[in-house]
Amino acid sequence: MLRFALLRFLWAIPTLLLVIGLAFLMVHAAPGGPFDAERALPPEIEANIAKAYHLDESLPRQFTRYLNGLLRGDLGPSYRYRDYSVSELIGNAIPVSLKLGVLAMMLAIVVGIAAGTVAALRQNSFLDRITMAFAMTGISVPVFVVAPLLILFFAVRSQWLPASWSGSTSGWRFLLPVIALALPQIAYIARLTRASMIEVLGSDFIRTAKAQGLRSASIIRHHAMKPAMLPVLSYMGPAIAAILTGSVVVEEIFGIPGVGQFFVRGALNRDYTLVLGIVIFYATLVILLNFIVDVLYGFLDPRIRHQ
Amino acid sequence: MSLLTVSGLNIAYPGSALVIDDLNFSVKKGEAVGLVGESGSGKTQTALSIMGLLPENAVASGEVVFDGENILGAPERTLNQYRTKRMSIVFQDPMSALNPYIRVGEQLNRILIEHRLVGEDEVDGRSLEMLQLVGLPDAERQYRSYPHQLSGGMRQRVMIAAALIGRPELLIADEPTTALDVTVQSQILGLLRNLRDKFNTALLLITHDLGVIAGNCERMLVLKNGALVESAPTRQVFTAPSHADSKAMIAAARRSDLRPRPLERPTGDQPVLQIENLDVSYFVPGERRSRRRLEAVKALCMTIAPGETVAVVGESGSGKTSLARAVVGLLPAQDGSMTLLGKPLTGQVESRSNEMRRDLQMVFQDPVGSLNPAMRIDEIIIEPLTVHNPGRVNANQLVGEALERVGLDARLSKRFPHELSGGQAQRVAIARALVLKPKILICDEAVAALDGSVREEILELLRSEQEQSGLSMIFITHDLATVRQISHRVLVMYLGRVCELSDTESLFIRPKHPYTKALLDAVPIADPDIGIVVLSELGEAPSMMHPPPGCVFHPRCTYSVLRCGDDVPELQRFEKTNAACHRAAELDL
Amino acid sequence: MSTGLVVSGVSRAARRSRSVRICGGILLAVAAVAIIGPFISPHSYLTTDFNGTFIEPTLRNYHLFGTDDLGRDLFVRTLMGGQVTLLVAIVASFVSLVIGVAYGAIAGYAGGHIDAIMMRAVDALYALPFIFLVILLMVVFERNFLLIFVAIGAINWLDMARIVRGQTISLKQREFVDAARLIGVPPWRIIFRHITPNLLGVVIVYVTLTIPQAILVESFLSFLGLGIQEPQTSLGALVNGGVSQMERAPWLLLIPAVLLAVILLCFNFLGDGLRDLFDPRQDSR
Repeated sequence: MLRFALLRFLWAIPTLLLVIGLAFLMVHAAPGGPFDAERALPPEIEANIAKAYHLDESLPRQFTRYLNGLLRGDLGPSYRYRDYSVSELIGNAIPVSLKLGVLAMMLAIVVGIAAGTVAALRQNSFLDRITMAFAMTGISVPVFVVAPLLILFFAVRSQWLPASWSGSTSGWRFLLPVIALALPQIAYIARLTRASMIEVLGSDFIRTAKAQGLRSASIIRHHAMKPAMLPVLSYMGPAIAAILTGSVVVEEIFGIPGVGQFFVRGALNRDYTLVLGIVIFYATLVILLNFIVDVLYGFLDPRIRHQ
Repeated sequence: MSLLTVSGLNIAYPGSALVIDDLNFSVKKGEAVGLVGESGSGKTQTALSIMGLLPENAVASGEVVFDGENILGAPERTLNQYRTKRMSIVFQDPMSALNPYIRVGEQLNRILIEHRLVGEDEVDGRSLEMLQLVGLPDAERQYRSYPHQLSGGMRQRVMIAAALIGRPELLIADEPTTALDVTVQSQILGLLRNLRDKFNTALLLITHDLGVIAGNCERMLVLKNGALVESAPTRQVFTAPSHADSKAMIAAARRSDLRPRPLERPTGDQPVLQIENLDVSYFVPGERRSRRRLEAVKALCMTIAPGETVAVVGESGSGKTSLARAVVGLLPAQDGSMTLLGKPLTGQVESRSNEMRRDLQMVFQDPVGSLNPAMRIDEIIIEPLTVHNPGRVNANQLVGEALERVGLDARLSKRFPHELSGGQAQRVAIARALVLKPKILICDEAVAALDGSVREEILELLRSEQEQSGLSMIFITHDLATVRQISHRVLVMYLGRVCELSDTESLFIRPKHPYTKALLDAVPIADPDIGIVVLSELGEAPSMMHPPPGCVFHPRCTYSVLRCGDDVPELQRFEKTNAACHRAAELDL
Repeated sequence: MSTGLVVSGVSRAARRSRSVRICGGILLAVAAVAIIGPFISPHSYLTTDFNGTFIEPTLRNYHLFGTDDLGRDLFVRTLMGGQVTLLVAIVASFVSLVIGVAYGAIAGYAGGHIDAIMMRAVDALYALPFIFLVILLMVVFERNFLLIFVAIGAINWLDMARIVRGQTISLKQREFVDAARLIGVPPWRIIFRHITPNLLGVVIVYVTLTIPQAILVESFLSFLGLGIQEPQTSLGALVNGGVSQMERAPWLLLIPAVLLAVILLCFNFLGDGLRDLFDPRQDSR
């Protein structure tokens, strides 16, 4: 078991390096520099700027310099927001995005698993069909359609909830964005839970449990829950990635000053260090969380544990 | 006094014919009743209906009366009062019947807790006690283990422990030993007999094996297509069956029994296949890192003459399948040599010449699985020919001939494999193997997945093919009855080594190796008058990864002496047989 | 041979599953309307009419869906958007199919070290927040139409590769492959005649599920203003436009949004229905 975890961890490191390398390459391979948008500058000043930002060095040297910086926690200066370093910018934006993401994830897990389990237990009933219809819709309708519609109906038309982020300080302002972000994941998790639960309930060892005279509630709790949850746990990795992706849209639409918004700005402004920094941040997060999910999975499935 | 009475039971499913048709029978307290029938006859449906475990879409009518109360269609709450405490069931496949995610002990505990059979603090103790009672060698350890860490026999013991922990009055056993090796089977059946005596439990034993019924049940029921065709004391059914179908069944069982069936041994000149000192081993799957090899076959020698059939017999873990795969080139051999018609056989099938491949063909265990689901039957049969003789072949004619030869209608040629029955698919597989006119055919458990009558037909087909064309065969099987019907000589394997090699007759009449004797004793005989040989506790077979030193069988051998643990015995020649046992000369088995 | 299998498989699916019939039907209808519609309507997707902006959906003047802020007819633009969306989805899915199947089949059949390395690469790529890289690419390479297809295809092949690899490995161990080897069937023929046709079922199912993903990615890009450029449009771009006019002219948001949702729903249901049918277990007797 320990060996399993260690191996997974060791694989994570080269993966991360690969990611950083790729992102770095792409960023620097882009035509056009960070300063093109501004007025054309006299060559000497351009050269000075290039020197100051080390853009005149060879690519491998720039990369090594960057890696060194990374190890010290320094992601470089922002090309756009000259007075700030990338770390500062990201640092300020993280708490908001984190709160948004975590709340959405928790909502998705709780509602998704509950809905899926109920649907599985009442298979083919009206409740089941309705739940799955909702779930299907949740998967099919994109976040950037749901979010505006939510705003339209709950904020603008009916004035229940704040539509604009900066306009209010109440905790309620989180409600719509979190729901918008969580909806597709609720749908996916519900479907997954239902399918997995149905499969588990059809297996031979559940028949044995019934033959042993155990009550339904007992069977579900002690025999079915654990194996049924395994595929859902596996999905947590992609789910996290999906929430990260979705957060970009949600932050844009609701005007939330989070990491996603900075990313889009940075991409449009060609603020390479900012973009690179965010990509690395996200990648690290995803890799780390995937590692945790993998280890948890190995822990829960006894067949892997006792290899 | 009748414990269980089933009257007028009908079970049907939407869109199909009756699965159980007007079934009537009863089981008395403490009685052992056997329920026999071919697959699809409705045996499992009967068992499920008694326990109330039929699927939701089943339509059942009639009565299932247990101790005066009709429980057919009763609500779950009522049924749960009966389950475990008054009746319980043991299923066929212990691996899938146990929850792989929960420890064995916990699964037993759950039953105790749910039914409040003992006080909270006694739960662990009682579970442990039960595990010991069913003969688990290291109950404490097994209590903490997960199912996949136990062998098949151990898992079935756990199932039995779970079934009897509530001291029910009736135990239903649905093919409890079918998935197990024959030596393990005899131990499990012995266990069931002991426990029944101890607790005076009635038994409804469901199986397709008449030998098992003969040795364990006082009365028996014969089921055909969902209807009861015979219900009488066991002895009476065996000696004077009243229904045509049961007559046929008994006759078939008797025929395939351990009685002599002389086969002329062909005289051959040059052996078709010669194997010397074959060693086959491979890395344990999933443990590449530990670099541990599993020695599947060790120092095996064998020759086969033209027109001869040699059966290779062994239980799971004996190495017989690895042997087959090595001969055929799907598994590389580490040491030793193989010659086919005088020419050396190389390891990988891909590196062999076309002629060699043509001469050596194989039929597999899973009939439908050995055919490409995306290819039609005619394409399947034509393929070998196109590979070996590229160029126009008269496809239709050849296919028609090939199918006829194996007794199939030429009209099947346009079908896909999943549209065929097991028997038909196996015939196609044989047709495909024979279309190249090989010199030697390897059958790896070729009839194990088939029912009784179909099995007979396939064996007959192979026999006649051999007579006509002088085909040699290596027949891999675990079923001694099949061996008797089809082979001239037998090779008995245990943990990768040859125990005994002799002609079929001598093996069955006068075995020279203790393991062979144990195997023969373990096979249930379809004759209620012949007593059951109680095998002194053989215990569990050791894992292939840790073979015992010296003679690999010695830890389980009744006749072992000190020497057996030190020296590996060589294959010695006796009059009629060859056996690898230090004491073979002096023992009279 | 393989085409025959696909056709027979598809018609069998259509006969057996209601969701396949209904959703397949809807999609074909949508595609048909999207292609033919613009020819019927008197308006073009380009022409602006500053006198006729923000007209609500009406039968007058054939402005069935109304007009937008520049007076362009929404009906035609929606259909154009539908065309583009479907086109991008199909092409991108095709790209990811080809890459994914090739990669997965090779990894699965080769096995051993090659397989291990190839799959590690897939794991690494999975960790990349790909959508971000795509956005980066879009910005970097100046919104080249062709590149959108490639980029989207480059995201989606990972799942397909994994599935195909898993399926290839389990197929490789089936006895009919052993039998083929024994007969002497050469490796190339084993891959093409024995393994690949048995992959088709799984591949078809997953393609119908990757198409919605491709559509979502393209719509997402357009929504951010990075995808298809004016005057061409896609459903995502239309939704984007609709959001900014949400309060004044809600039909500009609702109509393309509904069409987009319907297309996605149909593909998802279709994939589900196909998956139920092609489940390998159901084919055993």
